Amino acid sequence: MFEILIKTLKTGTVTTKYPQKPDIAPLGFRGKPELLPEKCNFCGECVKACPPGVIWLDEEKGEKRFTLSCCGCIFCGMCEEVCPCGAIRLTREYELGSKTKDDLLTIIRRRV
Amino acid sequence: MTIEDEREIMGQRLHEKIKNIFGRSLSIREVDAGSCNACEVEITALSNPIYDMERFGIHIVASPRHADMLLVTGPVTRNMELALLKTYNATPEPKLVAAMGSCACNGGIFGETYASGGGVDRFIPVDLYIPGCPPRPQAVIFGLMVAVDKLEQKIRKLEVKA
Amino acid sequence: MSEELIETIKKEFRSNVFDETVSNNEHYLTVKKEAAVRICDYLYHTLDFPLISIFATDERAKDGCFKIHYIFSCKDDMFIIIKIKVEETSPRFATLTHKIPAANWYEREIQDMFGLVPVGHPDPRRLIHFEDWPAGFYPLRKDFDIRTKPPRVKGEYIYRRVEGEGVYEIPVGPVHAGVIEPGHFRFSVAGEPILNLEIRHFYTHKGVEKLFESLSIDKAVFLAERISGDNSVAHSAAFCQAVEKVAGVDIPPHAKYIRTILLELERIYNHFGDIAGIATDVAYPFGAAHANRLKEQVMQLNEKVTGSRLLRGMNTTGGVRRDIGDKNELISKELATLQNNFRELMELLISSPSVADRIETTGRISNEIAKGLHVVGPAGRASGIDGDTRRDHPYAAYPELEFKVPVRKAGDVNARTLVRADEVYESIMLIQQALSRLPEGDIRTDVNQIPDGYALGYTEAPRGETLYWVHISNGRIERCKVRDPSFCNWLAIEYAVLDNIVPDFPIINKSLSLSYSGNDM
Repeated sequence: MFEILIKTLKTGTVTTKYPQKPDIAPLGFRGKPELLPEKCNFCGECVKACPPGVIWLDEEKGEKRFTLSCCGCIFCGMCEEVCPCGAIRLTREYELGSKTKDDLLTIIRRRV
Repeated sequence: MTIEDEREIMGQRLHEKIKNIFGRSLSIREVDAGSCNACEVEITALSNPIYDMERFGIHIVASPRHADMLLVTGPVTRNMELALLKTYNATPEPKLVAAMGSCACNGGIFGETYASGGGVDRFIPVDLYIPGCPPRPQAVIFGLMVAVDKLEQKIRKLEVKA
Repeated sequence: MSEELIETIKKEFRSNVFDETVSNNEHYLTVKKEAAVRICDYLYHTLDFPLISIFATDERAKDGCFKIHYIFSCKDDMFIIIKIKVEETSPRFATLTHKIPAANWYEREIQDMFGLVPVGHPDPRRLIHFEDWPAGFYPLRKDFDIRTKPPRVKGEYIYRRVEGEGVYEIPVGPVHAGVIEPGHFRFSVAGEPILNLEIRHFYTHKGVEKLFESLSIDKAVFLAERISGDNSVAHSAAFCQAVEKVAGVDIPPHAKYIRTILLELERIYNHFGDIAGIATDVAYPFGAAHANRLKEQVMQLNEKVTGSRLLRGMNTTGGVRRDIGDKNELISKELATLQNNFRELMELLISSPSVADRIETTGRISNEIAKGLHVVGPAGRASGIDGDTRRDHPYAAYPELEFKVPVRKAGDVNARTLVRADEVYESIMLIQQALSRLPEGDIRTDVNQIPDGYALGYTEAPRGETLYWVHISNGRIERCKVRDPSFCNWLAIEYAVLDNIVPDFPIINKSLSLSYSGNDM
């Protein structure tokens, strides 16, 4: 009984302050992929490398579209690894909860 | 204003939300519809002394009949389909469904196979998507905040109907 | 030694052995179908080699038949694989379950996935497919398309029945009261004591082995990580090692050490989690809270070191994707505090009479049963089985590191808890050794142009021996057989609960630490 009390006092409070205080993921954390539209050359390497297949290229009304969905993304970072122009970067953002799937899409459009 | 300040304000706003809406508590029933166990590890972590989600009044309950929300993980396997539907039907209205993890969102790496369904929203309506493989416990807490907004909307809708 | 052994087997069975091939430490013997049971029986009972897996392959396109492989783990880091051919026109093979009980589920798995019937099997019911699965659909045959959705048909699953005065059944699951994976348990009880337990799993069957065949090797690593969520490193390392073995690639020493550190970090957080679970189930929340806190600390350390709380995205064919050399100090500092905290916690846990009362003599698995069912990992070692893949079939940096394999004889929940506690100390020591000897150099080599071939990859996961058999042809995966430790250990729970009371079932279940997803795949 006494030991339990001592251990408890010694441990103190360990509970995190999140969400009142932000909790920033450590360096190297693989979070939401970020696209840099000016660098992307629509080569499609990331489309081939993506294990769950949540990156795709299509064309509509003379517009090339590059779409990445975080819905289904396994945050493996393969897209970042294979991209020849550094147009995809995994950020440390993890607060991705969303009410619709559309909110989780990132799209680059470019006129052909 | 620095990024830190902005985050601080956002954090405080969320806290207000918890106080106002979680005046009542949120009961969650977790349903594993074929996940790999990683999401379960993180849900278990939410009950540990570090994240301690009971401090917001969020409980994991033993039966869907006591639940306000179903937290579904996994791509919904062929063999779990019926159990998921039964659980959904046993949950009283108004109810929320949260799809946690990439598999639940759209099948993730398992995609659609002869045995994997490719996402929860193909079987039951989903109100919240929490991406991550698995999502960090903080990401789940954030997701629940987003969901609470929706719960409010749903309750209001029902009131209007009545 | 190995040549002598093969000679002895060949002498014993002469004309029954058609063909012999050796690759690395794997000896493949193609034998006459009719002689398979006798040869396996000889290897198992006379030579005392455990049967670690049975699986089939569909080689109709190449050789016009199916093949069944029986893998035996031998001394001196060697494996003997007995191969038989099964024709499509006569899709039957003799069961081995009478001789080796561990063969039970493997044979039923082959029946469900390939449509090859184990003749004389004591329990010929379906295993993976449910009663609503139509006859004639065999997912692992090459002519089955992965996206086929067979129609649901009517059918009934028949449970074993125990009858008598005052005997009633308690069905539990698949959706449980706690946060655990889905599975069905059917208890037959008379009052509180359990007379019989029948487990029914494969609710989380996702078709992983078929999925492997449609993925490129790079992507398959990520699938391996997601077979059993909390054993990510062990699974992906076993897969990568199998591919590297086929490719004939030796990964850089630096990468080997990093893999070893990751494997041990995984063991530590899993064992903390299991101890927390046991403490919760014996109603000792104080201990559970502290064990959970320790687990969380390791997971946060994992995140700082690798970017993932579950150590995902680190392994790749040819090495690892990130260097952790600069985190050396952080890891050793964190581990030193963890060790002290864990020691304090275990002292409190062991000295608590209320804990001891619940875990001592509970859920006993005798050495005989553990051996017969090939129970692996901490569960096996708590029942007196002195086996550890890290020592018996060394891989990664283990041959260069020193460690002990804790073994206990009692076979109860208490023994399993203590084995885990001892392993935590060993793991901490292993990481410290690895960190102090961390070699310089690259973290990965290129694995391109993989020749056709097959090989075994194996690791000791926190739950026990994990096995991969990967066959690569034209740079793609032809067949990938995964054997999670839980596939062996689940059978033991039906014996462990006998004569125990229903309220003790959760503790027994937790102490065996079984993965549903790894088992069902």
